[in-house]
Amino acid sequence: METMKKYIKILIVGVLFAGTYTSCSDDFTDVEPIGLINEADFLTTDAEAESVIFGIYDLMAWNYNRPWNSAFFLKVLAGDCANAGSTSGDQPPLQQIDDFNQVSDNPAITGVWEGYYKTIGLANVLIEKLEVSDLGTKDKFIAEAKFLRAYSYFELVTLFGGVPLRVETPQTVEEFGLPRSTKREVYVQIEADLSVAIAGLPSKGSIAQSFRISKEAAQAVLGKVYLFQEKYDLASKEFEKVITSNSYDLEPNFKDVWNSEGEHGIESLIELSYVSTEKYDWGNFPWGGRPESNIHAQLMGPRGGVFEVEAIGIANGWGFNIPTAKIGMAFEDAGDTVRKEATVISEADLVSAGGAVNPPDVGIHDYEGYVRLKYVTKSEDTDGPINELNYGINWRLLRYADVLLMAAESYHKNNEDAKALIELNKVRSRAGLADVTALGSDLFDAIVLERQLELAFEGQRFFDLVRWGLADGELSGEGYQSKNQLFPIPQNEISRNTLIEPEDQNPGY
Amino acid sequence: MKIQVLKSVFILGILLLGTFAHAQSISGTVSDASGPLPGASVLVIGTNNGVVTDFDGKFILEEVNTDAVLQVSYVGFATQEVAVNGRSSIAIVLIEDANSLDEVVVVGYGTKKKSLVTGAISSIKSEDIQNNASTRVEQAMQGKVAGISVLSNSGSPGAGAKIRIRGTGSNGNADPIYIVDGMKTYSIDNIASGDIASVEVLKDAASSAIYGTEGANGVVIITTKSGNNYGKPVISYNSLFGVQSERSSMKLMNESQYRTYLEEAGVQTIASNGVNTNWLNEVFEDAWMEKHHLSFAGGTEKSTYLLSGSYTNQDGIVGGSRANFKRYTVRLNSKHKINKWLEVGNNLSYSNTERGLIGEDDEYRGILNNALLMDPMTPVTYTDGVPSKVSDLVNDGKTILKDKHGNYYGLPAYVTGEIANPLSMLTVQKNKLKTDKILGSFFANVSPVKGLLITTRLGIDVNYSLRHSWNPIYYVSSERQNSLTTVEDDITKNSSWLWENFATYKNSYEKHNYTFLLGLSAEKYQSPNFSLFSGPMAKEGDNYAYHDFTQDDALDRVGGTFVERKKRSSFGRFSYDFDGRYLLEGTLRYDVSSAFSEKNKGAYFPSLSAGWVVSKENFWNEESAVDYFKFRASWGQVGSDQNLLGNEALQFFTSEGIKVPDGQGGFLPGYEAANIPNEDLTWETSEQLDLGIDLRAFDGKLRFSTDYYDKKTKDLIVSGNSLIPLSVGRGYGNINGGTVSNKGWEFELGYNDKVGEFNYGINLNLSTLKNEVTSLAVDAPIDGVDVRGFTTTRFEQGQPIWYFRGYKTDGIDDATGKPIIVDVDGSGDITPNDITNIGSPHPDLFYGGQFNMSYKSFDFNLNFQGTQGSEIYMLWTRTDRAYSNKPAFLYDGRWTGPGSNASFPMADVESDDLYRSDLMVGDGSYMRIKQIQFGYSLPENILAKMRLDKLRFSISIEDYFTFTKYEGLDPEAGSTNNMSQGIDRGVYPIPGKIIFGLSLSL
Repeated sequence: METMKKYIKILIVGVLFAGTYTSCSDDFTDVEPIGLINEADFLTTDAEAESVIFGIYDLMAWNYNRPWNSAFFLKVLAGDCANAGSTSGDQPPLQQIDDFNQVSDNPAITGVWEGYYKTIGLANVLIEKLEVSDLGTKDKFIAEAKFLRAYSYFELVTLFGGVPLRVETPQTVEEFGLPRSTKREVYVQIEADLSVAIAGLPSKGSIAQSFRISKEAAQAVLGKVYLFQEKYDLASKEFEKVITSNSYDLEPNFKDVWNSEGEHGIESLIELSYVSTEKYDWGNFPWGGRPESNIHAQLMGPRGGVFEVEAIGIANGWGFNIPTAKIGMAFEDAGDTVRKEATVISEADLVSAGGAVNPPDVGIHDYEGYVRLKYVTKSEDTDGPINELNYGINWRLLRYADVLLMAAESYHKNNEDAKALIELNKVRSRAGLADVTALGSDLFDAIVLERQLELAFEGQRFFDLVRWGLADGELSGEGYQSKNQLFPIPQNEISRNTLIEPEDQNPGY
Repeated sequence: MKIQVLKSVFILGILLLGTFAHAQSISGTVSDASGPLPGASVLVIGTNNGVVTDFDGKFILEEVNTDAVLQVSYVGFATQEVAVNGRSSIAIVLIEDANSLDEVVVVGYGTKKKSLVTGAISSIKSEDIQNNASTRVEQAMQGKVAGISVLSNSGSPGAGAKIRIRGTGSNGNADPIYIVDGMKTYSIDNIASGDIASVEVLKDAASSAIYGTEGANGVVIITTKSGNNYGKPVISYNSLFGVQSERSSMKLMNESQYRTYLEEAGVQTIASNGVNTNWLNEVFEDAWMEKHHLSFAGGTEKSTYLLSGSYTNQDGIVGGSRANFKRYTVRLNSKHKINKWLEVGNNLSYSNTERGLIGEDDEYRGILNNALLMDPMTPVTYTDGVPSKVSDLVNDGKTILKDKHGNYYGLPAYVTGEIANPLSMLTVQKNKLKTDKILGSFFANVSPVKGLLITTRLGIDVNYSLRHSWNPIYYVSSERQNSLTTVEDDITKNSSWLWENFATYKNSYEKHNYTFLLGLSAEKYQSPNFSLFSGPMAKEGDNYAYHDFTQDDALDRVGGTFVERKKRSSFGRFSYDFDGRYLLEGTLRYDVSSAFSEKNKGAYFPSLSAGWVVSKENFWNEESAVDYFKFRASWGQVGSDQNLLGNEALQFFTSEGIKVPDGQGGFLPGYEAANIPNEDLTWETSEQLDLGIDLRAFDGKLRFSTDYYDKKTKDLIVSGNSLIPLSVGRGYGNINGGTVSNKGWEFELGYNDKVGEFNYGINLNLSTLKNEVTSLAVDAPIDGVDVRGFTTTRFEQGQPIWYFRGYKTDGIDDATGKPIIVDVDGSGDITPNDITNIGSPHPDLFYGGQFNMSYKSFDFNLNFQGTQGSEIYMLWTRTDRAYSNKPAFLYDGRWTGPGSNASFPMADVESDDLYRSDLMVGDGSYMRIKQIQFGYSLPENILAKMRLDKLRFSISIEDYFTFTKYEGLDPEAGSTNNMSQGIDRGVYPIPGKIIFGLSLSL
């Protein structure tokens, strides 16, 4: 027994020795990550910093084009030009937004909230990393990132009011909670970011790619930010800088603004790019991912089986974002044929052009006699193999016409009606309409109408009505109540953000 | 490094061997009726001189007096005293102790007598697995033992199943690991059931702790058959074949009910068109299946072998041959004694499977989903005359699908959107999954001294899978069409090796019996994946579905990624018993995994268990009807790294899928910051307490076991993305976010007896389960699956894991016919805040049983299995498609006016009050007769004339009768998605089968 014990000991020692031996060779269990670049090796060159800027643009493009949950739908459907469309039970989240009965767990609202904060989150990373980096050219990238951050916060503050103001990346779970800031605090940050952006961004003539932000575009956004805060004097000064820079102008023909040839054209200050060349088909379209084509065209094309629109060069789609009678009649009442022809077509005009409307027995949900033409499924905007999935229409987020109208409004509010008329009539004259000469509140009404017609389906109307205090009157037919001036903070944010409580929700939700 | 480990183990072994080979001694063998008995104790009475037998039942004792008496004992056998009488070689045959019929169970890295087991281990024998039509081992395990739930993912041929041992203990992957002949694998779908000798399920933490960081969800040990050293070689052939058919009692609205319902719902008044298609009848068909297994087994004193092959072929009751599953397997298990101290061998299998995939578990485009939703007014095909809307589409250049007779398939008469004629959609399913798998192990056992066994074992698991599909052109509607032929391939090649070295030393001292186990292992897993895509095809057809022959290079796409995991471990176990009466065991494992972060590189997993065999005490009345009575208790901690990705503590940037158009037809690549790093991330730890009793009575005829367990999975890995506020704007990888508790009781009862030539047996098992998320790091629920744009399941503190969300109703308002929604938050209005827990997919109780009897040449088996208390959320209905068909119960039970005493609201095609409410949650409890089988074996005298050992014929009906209140296709509404359990999107029901069997051996 004694010898046996000895050998057992030897054995145990031997096994333990071998165990220790393997334990020392830690490298056996190290595995390199696949396809990822460690931050230690990144942001050391211009190209790397710029690639993150492109990443931010890509997030913006995604947020405005996320199938079913896009910022585009959220902003447009809230207005009085568009109904949700399709069939009544289709995409309840969008139907809710259109009918102003949205609730806080509406996935489309949650998705848009997420989209803006993702854009901000990446901008924050880039700003933080560059601020401590010794990259010589870092200032211009910081300027651009700050613009993109400010733009996202501006959209958020108009949609939701005061939001959590996150300007740096939290590193631990404890830092994830952040209370809502006041609207004022958010605006202060936006103004600060924009002023850095304006100082560091190149002028329109020097931007590296057509989709990049110019100094003038940042000035226009700053003007808009002032306008929304009713700082009319400051606003008009910014718009004036843009106008006098002569960097931008109106496209001579209104309908050309949305042509593919007109992409990033003379009138476009901020534009998100999509392409028709990705050759998506039904099997590989990234519904949950980041399509490079503009899928909204298909989602909002006139519904197949109901609208025969081939005769006017349009393909069928899935029927969302269908015009209200109100916008159609607004064009007719204003005698605005140029813009109407590029924006909506009435059923009668469609039929006389060789099209048809074949309503099913139940009728066409949300249909009020007009078919939308702005951002419509134009056959020339797509390419194979599957036309439905490859529309390349760009979203125009800020146009020079909008700048002119905002300038007019700022001048008017700043008691400079003469200057206001000049800018307003530039826009009217392009539309083939007579100059406005009215002053005072009549001038203001003219500006209100002009914005309605010029910017229909561009996601401006709702926010204009709210800031003008006209939403109660204009939107009451749509189901609007005063609580709807802001969207609800997503339920998801309230339940996960430890510093936002249910009582911090916007009133009425 | 690996070489070093092997060297040290071998050198040590050889060293020890050399010393002992020269000792003077008497030698002998201890065996029982079936062969040598390893581990029996041999003691020279009156001395401390004793040994245990080696794995061949051999022993050598030194310095034994010629007049000495040896005491030979082994648990479960009557102890013998044998006089040496001057012999130098003694053969001892032990007789089983009639009072304690005992079995050996396989445990981690060894075997153990069941009477000495201190953990909770359930065993399933080979005959229970192979004698039925199940094509996968998991299915055959269903209902056989307590504590294990087996939930089929689907009833389609070749579909997998989820095994949950003692509840769902993880938010992500909660599958157990499978140890097949020592090799770890994550799937056992490729093992022929005829190859299996036994299945052991390690349920408690003390049993599974030896598997450390992979044992948290339980361990299933599968031992395959081997040849026999003794007797003549055996050739066996088993065949089962038969017909499968649909057995669901689900009813959809017929044409007139459908029209009435739509009219009452205010959708449309539709006139009859003379068509009344029952889509369920149309989509289901009877389907063939067969299983064959042939084996050759035998051996000599030095070597044993088992060579087997099997073939399985099963068509689908939906899709027929398009859903076909075929599997071929071959196996070679062999073992060779090289010399007195060395034995080598292998267990090696190769399998090849091919599975036709049809769309399933999809609320938009699944075949069954569409069969449920299709309006009954659409004809299957247009046999007399094609309506103008179809001819218009054909004239317009659209491809309308035709059946084999050349008739156009019916296009939806009323229903809209992507919903299509399921029979036409079956014709465009061109999706096949092929796999080749090699799973096996090679081993050497070195026995340098008596009682010591050193094993080195290399396991390999190589899986090559190819999913190949192509897409034909067709048109149903603008939402359901394909206008470009494309070819897709997805190729994955997983391979892993596991190298283990362990030593077991077993000995006794007087009545003290002890065993040590010490071991080391290292493993590596690699999985490259490639995807290929191209189009259009030169011509439609399987023969053209290859990328060289597609025509537009601009459509070509490739993708690919790579996953690698590595681990090294040390483990040990100490087992002790005093006279088979007091039992004690402890284990410890240390793991270092590539998935762990720098901060938490290594993990220890301990366990401790004890048993007290009360029936061995002196005070136990020998006359008692109870022959054996054991208390056992165990505690342990086990881990799971299955849901860790590795490298989650570093900040990375990624460019995957990020690009912006440059305005000139190209793209500029973009980068994004990947997840916010989490340095503190660690593995999931499951801590479990188990208390149990094992009892045998009436001379072993009655067996009973019961266990109570309390299992807590701590540091539950949850996706940080699902917990952090969206306003962080960044991804956050995994976090250790919560605790899940599973508690329950398990009972297993068996009785076997024989009256003359009549043998009978009954086995029953029953388990209870209470599953609850007991804490969450962030006070916020985690959203699970989304159905039609809304969150449907949730992971939330105080609730069962992935419970159902919806509106709670309190009857139907008799005045309005609308559901009365419960104002859960008391706000006075019904808002989304009133959405609450309306059900759980987890049963409170599950059970199974087997009856078997035989009389002379006849035998009979009955197996059943069921669950109680689970719920199913019927979510295949489409509120956004007003014209989609609905279940008949919505029609039968609807409110038609005041006083209708309705169970369902007035006709309604879109309201959330109905379709997102508990009105659509059904009781998922069911009891299924898994098998009724009659067998007839030819009697010996006839067999002898035929020179056969055995010839048995059988007929059985399987999965044929299901008792349930659930009004969907199948109460086993499975899903491959963990978060989607119990969500019925139109499941592929489990077919009933009528099976003929033939089994012969010679």
